Amino acid sequence: MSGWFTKSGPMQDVVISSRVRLARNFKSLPFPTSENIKSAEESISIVKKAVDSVKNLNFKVIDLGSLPQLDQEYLVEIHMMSTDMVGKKIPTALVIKEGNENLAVMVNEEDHLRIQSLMPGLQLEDAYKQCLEFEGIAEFQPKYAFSHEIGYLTSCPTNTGTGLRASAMVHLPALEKTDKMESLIDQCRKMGVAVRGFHGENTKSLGSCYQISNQVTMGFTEHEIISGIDNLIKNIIQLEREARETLRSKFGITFDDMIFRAYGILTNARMLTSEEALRLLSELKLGIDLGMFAEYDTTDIIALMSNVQPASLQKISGKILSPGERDILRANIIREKLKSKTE
Amino acid sequence: MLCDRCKARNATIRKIQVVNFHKQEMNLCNQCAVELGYIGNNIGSLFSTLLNMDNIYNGVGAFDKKCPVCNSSINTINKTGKFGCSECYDTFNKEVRALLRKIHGNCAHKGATPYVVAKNDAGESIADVSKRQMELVKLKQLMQEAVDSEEFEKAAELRDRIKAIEEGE
Repeated sequence: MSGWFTKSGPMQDVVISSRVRLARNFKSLPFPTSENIKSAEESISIVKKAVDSVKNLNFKVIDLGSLPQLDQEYLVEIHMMSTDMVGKKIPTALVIKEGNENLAVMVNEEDHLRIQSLMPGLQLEDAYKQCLEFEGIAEFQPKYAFSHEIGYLTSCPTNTGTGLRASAMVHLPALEKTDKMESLIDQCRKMGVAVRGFHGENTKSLGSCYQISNQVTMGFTEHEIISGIDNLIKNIIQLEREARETLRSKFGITFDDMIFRAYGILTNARMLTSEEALRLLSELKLGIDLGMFAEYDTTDIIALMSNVQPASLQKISGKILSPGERDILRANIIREKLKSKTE
Repeated sequence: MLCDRCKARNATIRKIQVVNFHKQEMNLCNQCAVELGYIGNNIGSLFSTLLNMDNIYNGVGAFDKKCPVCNSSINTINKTGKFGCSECYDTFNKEVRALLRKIHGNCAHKGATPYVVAKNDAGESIADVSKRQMELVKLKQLMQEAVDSEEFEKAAELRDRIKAIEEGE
């Protein structure tokens, strides 16, 4: 799996990725949250049968129980599944589509199906279309738990209705440095939009990356929700781009110095912790997006941000590494990647 | 009416409970109801507050109500913040609707339905082919049923819809 993050996408100077997730459940079968092993097995078997009925679509069901812990952590790091899927008491599975690294369906997370599509840059509508391909498998249709009045029924009432969550991961270093984040988060909240740190729920922002998503899932059509978030993100892109220009013109050489210092450390350090690497890569990305380094592409930095996470590093090296060994490998990978582009 | 407990503030909540086979009625102010644990006092207990409200007001034994499929009760749902199965939505229908209104500001689904193709602003289909095919199968079935039961007006309407979808492809 090469990963969605190695591809370039629209507006990647600010938007790292777009994700759309649909929550679906099967009728008369306890939700996975009830931790009922028999019904968890049954939902997996419904999925397997459905996937078998559409062999030409190349979906593949992976039983997570048989997957090594490291591979599971890797899938979490590249956002193909949530942390909740690791170490669950009930059987779980992940459906992927061969030849399409964007789509992943979690079976037995909080809902029977969590269909999600992740795409580089701002491409929410396209991500939604990809989810529909799986959601629309004819075999599933009569089995979905659905009410004409309140829509798709989900384990948590915050997802009921469309079951749709549209989100974008945005890189906002300039809004952060100009102290605009608090008011932005506040304004978003008033519009029913959530802003969270790097790794989704309950985490702080790492490398100035924020995830922005709709909170209301009912009373609007899917298209209204998606275009609402899309428009909001476009406004935020505008604000961030303006803040970047302001920052650079206001601080001049001090700003350039910060970026070049980040570059200096990244191209020379022999050990880098995950936090330091993310912070410096975020600063370098800002410089690249402002046209300071013609030899680099912003997508290269996004790929590095993903590749230097703990499980990804161990996946690359093919063995379990201690934190110290990881810091060395992380520095090596970053140095080599950045040097290879200048030769 | 003054609160039965503090006898100072106005009573806004009526609590009915059965003690030793005798029905007891208590009229409480909001603060005392919180202190006695009958209602929640923070956002974290949004669920419990909403789901319990009915019982506090009416004294109905909804606490004993259990979902026939997953055996969830108001109590277990309060604890986890999650429903046990899709049937819970029916079992606790009234409480669920109040909760959905609180979370989403409404409780009327406007989005896609199984078999029905989602539309964008221009009215174009943005769903994949397999979903559209399923809708056709369903509409054709409904049309046949309408013909069988001699509801020709309905059948004609369905025929037009099928035609529109087929031509749209």
